[in-house]
Amino acid sequence: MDNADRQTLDALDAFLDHTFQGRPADSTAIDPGLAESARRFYLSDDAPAPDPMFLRQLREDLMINPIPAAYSGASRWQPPVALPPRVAISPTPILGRGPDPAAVRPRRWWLAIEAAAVAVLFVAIVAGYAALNGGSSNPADQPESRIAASTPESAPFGVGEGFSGGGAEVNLPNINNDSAEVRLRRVTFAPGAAWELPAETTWIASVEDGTLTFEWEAARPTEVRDGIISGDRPVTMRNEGTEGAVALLATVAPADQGAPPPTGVAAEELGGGEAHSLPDDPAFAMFGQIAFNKGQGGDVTDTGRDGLALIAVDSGSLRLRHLAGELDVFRGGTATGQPVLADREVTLTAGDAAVITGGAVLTVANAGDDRLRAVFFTIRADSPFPEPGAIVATPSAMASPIITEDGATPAGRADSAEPVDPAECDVEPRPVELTPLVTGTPEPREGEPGYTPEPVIEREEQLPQGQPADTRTIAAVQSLEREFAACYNAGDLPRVLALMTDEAARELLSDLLEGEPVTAESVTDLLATQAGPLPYEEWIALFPVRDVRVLPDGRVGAIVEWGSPGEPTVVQEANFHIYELVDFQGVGTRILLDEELGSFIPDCQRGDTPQSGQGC
Amino acid sequence: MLKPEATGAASPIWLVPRLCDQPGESRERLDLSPTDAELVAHAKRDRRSFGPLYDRYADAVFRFCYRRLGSREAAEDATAQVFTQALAALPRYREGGVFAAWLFSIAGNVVTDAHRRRRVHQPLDAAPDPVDGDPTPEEMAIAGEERTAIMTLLASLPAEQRRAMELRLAGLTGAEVAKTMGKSHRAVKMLQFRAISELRVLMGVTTTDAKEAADGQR
Repeated sequence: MDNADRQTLDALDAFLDHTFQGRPADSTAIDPGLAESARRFYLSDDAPAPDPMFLRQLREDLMINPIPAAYSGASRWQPPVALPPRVAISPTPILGRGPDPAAVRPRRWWLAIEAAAVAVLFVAIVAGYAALNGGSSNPADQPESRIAASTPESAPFGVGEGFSGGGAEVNLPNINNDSAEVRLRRVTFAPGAAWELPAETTWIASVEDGTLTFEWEAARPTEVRDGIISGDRPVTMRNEGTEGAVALLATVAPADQGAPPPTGVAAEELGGGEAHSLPDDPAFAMFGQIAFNKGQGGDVTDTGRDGLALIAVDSGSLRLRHLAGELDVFRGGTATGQPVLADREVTLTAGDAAVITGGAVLTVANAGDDRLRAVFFTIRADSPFPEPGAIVATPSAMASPIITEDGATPAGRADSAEPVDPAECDVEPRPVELTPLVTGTPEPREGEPGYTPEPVIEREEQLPQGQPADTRTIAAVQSLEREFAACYNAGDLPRVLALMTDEAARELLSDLLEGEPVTAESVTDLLATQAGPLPYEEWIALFPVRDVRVLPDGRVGAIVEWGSPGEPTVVQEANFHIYELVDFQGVGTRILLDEELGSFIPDCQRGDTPQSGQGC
Repeated sequence: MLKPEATGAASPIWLVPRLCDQPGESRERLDLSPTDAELVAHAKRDRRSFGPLYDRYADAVFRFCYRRLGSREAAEDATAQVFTQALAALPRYREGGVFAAWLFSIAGNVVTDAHRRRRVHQPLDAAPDPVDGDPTPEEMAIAGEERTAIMTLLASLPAEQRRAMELRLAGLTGAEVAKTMGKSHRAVKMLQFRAISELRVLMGVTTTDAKEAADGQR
């Protein structure tokens, strides 16, 4: 544009500023035809004035009536937490441990477990591990990086990094105006099958099973296993493996994406629909999975004003209440009717999905007797992910009723402990190949030179003190303990080890080996004696963790209490666990069990008022 | 001027002339009236202080909605929704923003959603191409709407030009239109230049007409 054009545009803009606000305008600097056209257009505005009665009534309503909860200024947002990494444990913690938080020496937590149960565990674990891994010790069979070959140079897409999985930053450059079609599909690739997504599609994929290779122009392919990847350029997804591969695939595009996938690729529609007012670039897209036992529920997300949420039920029955936005229900990928306005309840069953546009504030609950599993996908303007270094947790922990909305540790213990299903043991096992990295000289045992007995903890006030933890930390701790209980009940020692820091793992293995040096050979021999999941009556049951605190050295401590399925209201064991935040390079951070201070009798069981003021 | 400590009902001094009155009437604001930013700051502390902002923009928002929805009833519903959402979202309103741009962004979303609610949902495979949120002629017929002169003109413009001119009719300045549309001011200047040029053709304004009109004004 030359100067004359720019002057014309500026003059017209100034002329319109005046004309459309009813002020005298200088038209000498612009073409008389344009000036007259603008005037006539302005004067042709025959939109009627509003009814004064309506204006008065609305003003009164706004000033007097309460604002709908969905629009209240106080944020109801519970941070949508990312999934824990299902990835091999890296032996590279980056955070120092600092000094011991208290004079009490750590006691090995596993010694507190009944000897008989431990014996069963050993036998069960070896068999379970052998069954799971087919006895293979081939490194190629071991878990590998969650996001293979996803370096910044090779990945122009936003690859999910810096958190323990969940999502990525996305651009939505292909969306014309503010209307788009969003679809969520579960896509199964046969070996050798490939699918090129239509152009002008922004996509995000979570590879759930197998490995997929993502190819796009002018870059080398990115191989993804158990990872999340996104992009806004044409991409071809290919299964180069010999087994099937499954991915959740969300797409955002300006036009119908109805082209069927090619042979060898099966796409199961989970839900989708038209969306308006998507956030500006860059937006944040996230996958999450939620699991609720009977009677459980919780807030899932608040996407912000322009955000979008899509939730699809895998199993069970889900009762959903959306406090803002507009909800469409899909059954088998087909919309079932008119949109549901905010603040209504909707029940979804397996195969159903719901799309909430215009800003979703979403609360869900298990509406049935079976365990509920669902996947959700959100697009929002601001990042839902924790800042680097923050503690992340699992949605199942987030959904736990023990986590209060303001992040406070719950007041008092729940009435009963919950036997945790071994199926919830989902962490990737610690590979045998890594066990040499945790070997070392074991601490002296009772009867050996240098052994110092642990002091007895008589009251909770003797435990290390700290600052109350925030919601995410509480959720992370609860999640870890829940998974620990699940892996214990599953008799899965490699997965139990995956929930521990290297030092804690070393000490556990040392105790299990009864003083024998921890080496790859001795661990392999130990695992060879494991037998599989424990019988139900021998499961451990978990009370909600309490008194979660941040210790002066930066680690986190909490009181963890255990019961049994037969006596769920009786605390059979109370421990003080200390956790450490560990960074897994290229994957994210995760909280792990680092130490246990010996078992003690909870204050409340002695009839005392607990030091924290919280009762049993 | 606004008193930071005032917490009661809206003071009469805040009852300033509305931004948009009947076409042709003066729309100047009183110099002593508080700015939008001052009103917003006060309304954040005291909800009742939202009243003057409502008074300032209610008319313009209603007309904006009417031009897009074509019926008084739909425009009233949308207007109520716009101000309810704005009032509730006010605590999150960023200091330094342009309130008018923010408000009309909400209005645009509300109107788009209103159109969307009218549509009959179809399976995805049968879904029509996404549209820009305006009613189709069939939808307007179903809704019993009649196009006014201004709606006819606006409907003849490409979407972005139309949106710019709708915001102009709501009384926004060029800079405010740019913020509302998320575009540069320069881009909006070009949009409105093209829109006025197109309107000139649509309204049949000849050079002779323009000169006669200009002479008459002098």
